[in-house]
Amino acid sequence: MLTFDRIVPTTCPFCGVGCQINLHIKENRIVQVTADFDKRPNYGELCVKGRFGTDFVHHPTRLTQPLIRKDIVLGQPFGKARPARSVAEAYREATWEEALTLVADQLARIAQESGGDAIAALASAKLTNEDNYLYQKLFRSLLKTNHIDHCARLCHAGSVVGLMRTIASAAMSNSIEEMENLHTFIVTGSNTTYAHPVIALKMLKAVDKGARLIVVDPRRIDMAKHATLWLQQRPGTDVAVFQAMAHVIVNEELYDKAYVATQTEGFEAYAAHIQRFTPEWAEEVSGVPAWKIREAARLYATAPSAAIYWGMGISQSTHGSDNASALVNLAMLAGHLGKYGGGLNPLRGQNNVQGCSDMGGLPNVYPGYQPVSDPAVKAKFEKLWGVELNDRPGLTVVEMAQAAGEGRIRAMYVMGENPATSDPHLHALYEHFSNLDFMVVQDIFPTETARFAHVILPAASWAEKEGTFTNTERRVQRVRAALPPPGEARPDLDILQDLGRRLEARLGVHTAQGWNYAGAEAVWREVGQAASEYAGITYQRIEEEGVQYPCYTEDDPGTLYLYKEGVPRGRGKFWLMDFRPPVELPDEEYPFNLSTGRLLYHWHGGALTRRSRLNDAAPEPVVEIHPVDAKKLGLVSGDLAKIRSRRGQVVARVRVTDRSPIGTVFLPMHYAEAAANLLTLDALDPDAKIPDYKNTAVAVEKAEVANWELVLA
Amino acid sequence: MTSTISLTIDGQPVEAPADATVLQAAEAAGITIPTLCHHPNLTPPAVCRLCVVEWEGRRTLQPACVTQVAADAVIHTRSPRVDLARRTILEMLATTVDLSDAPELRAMLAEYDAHPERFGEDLTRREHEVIIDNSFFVRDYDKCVLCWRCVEACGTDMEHAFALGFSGRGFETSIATFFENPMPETTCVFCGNCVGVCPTGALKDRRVFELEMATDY
Amino acid sequence: MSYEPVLTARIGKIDPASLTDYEAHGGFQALIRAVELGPGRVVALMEEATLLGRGGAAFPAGIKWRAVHQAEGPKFVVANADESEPGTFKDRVLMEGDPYALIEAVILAGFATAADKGFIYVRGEYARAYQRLRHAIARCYEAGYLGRDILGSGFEFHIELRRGAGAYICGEETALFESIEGKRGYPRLKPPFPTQAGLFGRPTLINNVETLINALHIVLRGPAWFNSIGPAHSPGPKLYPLSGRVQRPGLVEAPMGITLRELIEEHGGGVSGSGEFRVALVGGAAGAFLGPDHLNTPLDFRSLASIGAALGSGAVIVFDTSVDMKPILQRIADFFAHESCGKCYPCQLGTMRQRDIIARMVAGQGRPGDLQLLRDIGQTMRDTSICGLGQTASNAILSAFELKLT
Repeated sequence: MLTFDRIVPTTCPFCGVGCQINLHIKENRIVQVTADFDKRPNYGELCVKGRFGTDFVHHPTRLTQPLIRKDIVLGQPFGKARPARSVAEAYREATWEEALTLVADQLARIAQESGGDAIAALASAKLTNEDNYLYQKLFRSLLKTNHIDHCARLCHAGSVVGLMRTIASAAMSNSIEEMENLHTFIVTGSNTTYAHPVIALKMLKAVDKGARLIVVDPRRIDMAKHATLWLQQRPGTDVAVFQAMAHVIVNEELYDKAYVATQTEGFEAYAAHIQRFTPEWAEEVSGVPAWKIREAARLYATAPSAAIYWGMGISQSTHGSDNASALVNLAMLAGHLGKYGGGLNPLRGQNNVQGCSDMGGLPNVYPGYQPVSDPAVKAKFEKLWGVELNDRPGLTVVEMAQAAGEGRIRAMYVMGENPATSDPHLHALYEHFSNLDFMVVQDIFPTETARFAHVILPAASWAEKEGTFTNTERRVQRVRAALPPPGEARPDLDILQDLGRRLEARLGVHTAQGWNYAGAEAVWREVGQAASEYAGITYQRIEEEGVQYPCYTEDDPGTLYLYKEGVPRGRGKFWLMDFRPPVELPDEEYPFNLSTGRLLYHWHGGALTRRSRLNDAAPEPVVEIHPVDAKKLGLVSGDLAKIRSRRGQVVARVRVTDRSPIGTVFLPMHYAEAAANLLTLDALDPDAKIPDYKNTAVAVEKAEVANWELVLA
Repeated sequence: MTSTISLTIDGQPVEAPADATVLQAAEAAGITIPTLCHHPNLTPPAVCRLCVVEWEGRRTLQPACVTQVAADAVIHTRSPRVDLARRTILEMLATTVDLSDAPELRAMLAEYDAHPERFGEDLTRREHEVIIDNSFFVRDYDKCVLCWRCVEACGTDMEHAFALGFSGRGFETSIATFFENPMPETTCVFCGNCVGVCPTGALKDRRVFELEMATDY
Repeated sequence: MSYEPVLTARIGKIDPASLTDYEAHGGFQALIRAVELGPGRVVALMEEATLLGRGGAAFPAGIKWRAVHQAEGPKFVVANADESEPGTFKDRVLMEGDPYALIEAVILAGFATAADKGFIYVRGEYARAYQRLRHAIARCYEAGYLGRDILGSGFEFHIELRRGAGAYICGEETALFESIEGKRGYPRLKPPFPTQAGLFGRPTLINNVETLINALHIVLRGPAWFNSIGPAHSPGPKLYPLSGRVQRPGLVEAPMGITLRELIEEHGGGVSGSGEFRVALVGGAAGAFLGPDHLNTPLDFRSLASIGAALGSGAVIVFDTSVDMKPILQRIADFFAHESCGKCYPCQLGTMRQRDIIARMVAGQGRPGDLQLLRDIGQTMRDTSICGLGQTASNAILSAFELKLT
């Protein structure tokens, strides 16, 4: 029997469920991952990624040394960012002193020449709360820029806007432990069994106990097999279905009159507005039979408590914020807010996407969602940090890149993100990045994005540093150092503080706290001062088990579900909207709709999972095509297919399956060699600035050669 | 709200919720009953029968993990009958499978003064080849005690994947996939929750298995 | 003593395929009477008759009927026709010779308990019984005994015929349910009992074929008639499948409680072979060996229980003094090792270890502690097995050692 050198409890680095895991370490390698059966939120359950996929930490391509572009000589001018074919060929190893000197010099120079507004920074939903807090603080306090954003923009921005403008709160309202005891629930735009596997298990337990599940999804996802009702709407017609459900709830007087009267506003106008959205109209638009819409509305509205869960299918759309607002309308009508087993629950995709947003990794808010444009908030943070601050909200992810293309953004710092696979319309992004005067990537792997950087800084992985992640149910949980970082890689907090000290010296700006924190815990204590909803959470309290914010004091048990005392806006606002079709619809030239999404075995851009044994289970890009379409195209499973949009083309292996409806092909987002985002378009939701990853018009044809070694076109 | 009832366990008066199992009531009273197939997160299959107790007035010994308490019951968690049953089951198990990766079971053998060797050498054993058919875990059914935990974890208790079931019957039963297909050809999603609940090392992370093969640990 | 057979009265006298023949010989009179009486009265009659389950467990049938009668629907009636106990062939004779009687009994039970559907689970090897039942069910649908509004009562009832696939364990009632549900034939934990949560998790009346046939006669002739036959504690007519070394093996119908001697000598024509009685296996492989000392023991549930044996299915296999018992014991041990389902450890492991040890004893390679091992295994199986299979798997073998048969 194998014995282990140590067993270190920590939080899983993959999705937003935030499973608690134990890393079994032998000779500084993770050899096994287990989970405690009595610990929230997963109670011993894991998915393939958490249990078997953490070996990316030991992958030979880990960055272990700072790297500088070979053509850069310190003190000399150098060229713009442009993609290197190979990191090994284009970069040379450097010392930390050299690398950080270059970074500090360039950022300071550009800030002095063009102002902070010429610098943009991508925070990371992968990294800890402490990393992100310090990161946004560094850019806001020293470089005076609010151009800070992260990939939440590309996932739940639609949800955030849809929720903020109606109830003024965007977090998942209810908790994972309620899921086993649901009475009725809607899952829409979430392939839960793939994207949040452990949450799916809790939901299935509820179904086993008799809960009624309504799945609203164009794809035959696994959850549909367990559903009481499956509403298979045409892609992009979500609003039609939800509005028609509201129509039924209002006209059959199934709504919670007391809740609507006391907790909401705008009902009369809303009730009048939705009269035209009959189930029959919605059937025309969405293809969902009117009777199913009626049944779904009745099931949802008449339940004593009913929850709505959603994912990217709702949010990643040019009408993502409307989709989310339509769901808010339903929940307010039925009065399913502030209840156990109810609520509005956007399932967060990344391990710390909740935390990164909470920590102010957004262009318009400080930690705790305090607006940068609010003078009182500005004053508060100027006092806390002891520096002057910028009150102009910054640019969002896609806007930053576009601004770089236009020359308005001159320098970009990317920490633990990989926009060169995750942003839409990648060819445009490559152009934009190539126009940057200076680009820094701080990461654990030479990602697709790193190939544009002037400087690449090697960071410690999640298993090599201390901190906290906040999971989808607002639970702040510990992350612990189980291993030393490889080579000269350093924890992000160390890198940021080193850089902070150098920038202070060059810019002559000094923050109240300086850049010599005693460790992650000291940073976390400052978070509590910056945003009171975390003030009650201390490292000591979350040593064994995490606590759910809001948690204002140390004797506050935390918050299982939100809105018990009403929504933060006071009265929830019914949002009026019309149905808008997707921006790009199939036509004669591009006859198919492309939907992108996830597989069980991979995660996001694939930077981690493609470098773990998970890759054995899904080694190559596969496009899912409906049997009817495949027949027409003369394709069978195992063939190669070229998928072409107005913006680019990729080749993928064909799998013929009826998971997606006729006319829709599905391509996972994880494969750089067939990056789905070479095809997608960068049209944005007008309010949330989120692109539509689920509706791209494409043509599909048989291909002979895979050509997968050419990652950058 | 369930009512509370009084009963006697090992001569000790015990209060327990009326819907508690004997195991729960005993644990609450600080009395340890050995278990093997029972796992707090899974439906007890009550197959190992190591947790049996003697309930005065009942014909057979009662499995503590699933038997509900009753008012005024007089229960003995250790008695010659109970110990004989536990010892005999442990001895038969030790003569059937490889318990080298099951330290808790080996400790139980010692505690019940079990002597598997008294059964002799010429016994039918269960022997299987190690199955290595995926990158994530191996199945070494020489070590499988048929506790059913993996089957339940793969089924409605956890994963709802239903990749694991049984083949064979009686002594020749083994945990198997449908038609004994390799794991990647089943509904398995490689969550490894089966590995997590396996008490004897029959299911093992492939990395651990390979390290053990490669070293003298 | 003259006893007029009741349960087997029609067998050999009627054409088993003919519904009209069955009707001409009193068929469906019990159901007609039951419809007149109404379900509540029928259940009361069943309670008044002391009908102990004929499958072997001797559970009072009336209690089951009452429980299912009172339970919320949907509910089921199941006829356990998976007759698999070695030496037992009573249900086979009933089903092959008088198939309509079983169907009538199942309909009657369904009517009395307001069940939605009946199942007859027939042992897979009983091809002829299966064919005859299948034909009979079709005829009953045509004649209106099955389907909607049976006999103008407004009662709707259906019967589904199922075949086993050769597993002894599927005669265990909960394993039988699992089998009907399409699952592996593993016995369930009890409680809950079938009357609470049986087939498909619904309240279920499950009775042995012989028990159900008795119900027809209780309805027709009344509980007083039934209770007057045989001993008061376990009355009624009983079928004894008699085999082995007797002059006239076959199915014997007699009042409950005849002695082993009466059975062998009066009904079986005496011991064959050497002509000298050595031992009888009563109750099949799950039963026990009885020696000459027990020739006068009445063959009823209570009398046999009082001497540590069991009536079981009523099967009696007779051995004369010329029989070598070693291969018999090996056969019994092999049987249980083969038929154990493997669910619970004591039976899964114990039946195999019992087989291993008997094998080496038979081969003359026994070890000093082997008899103690067999006793430990036997007690463990009896005390801790989930179902009757394991609980009885050592009975015959241990009783053989008590009688020093080897």
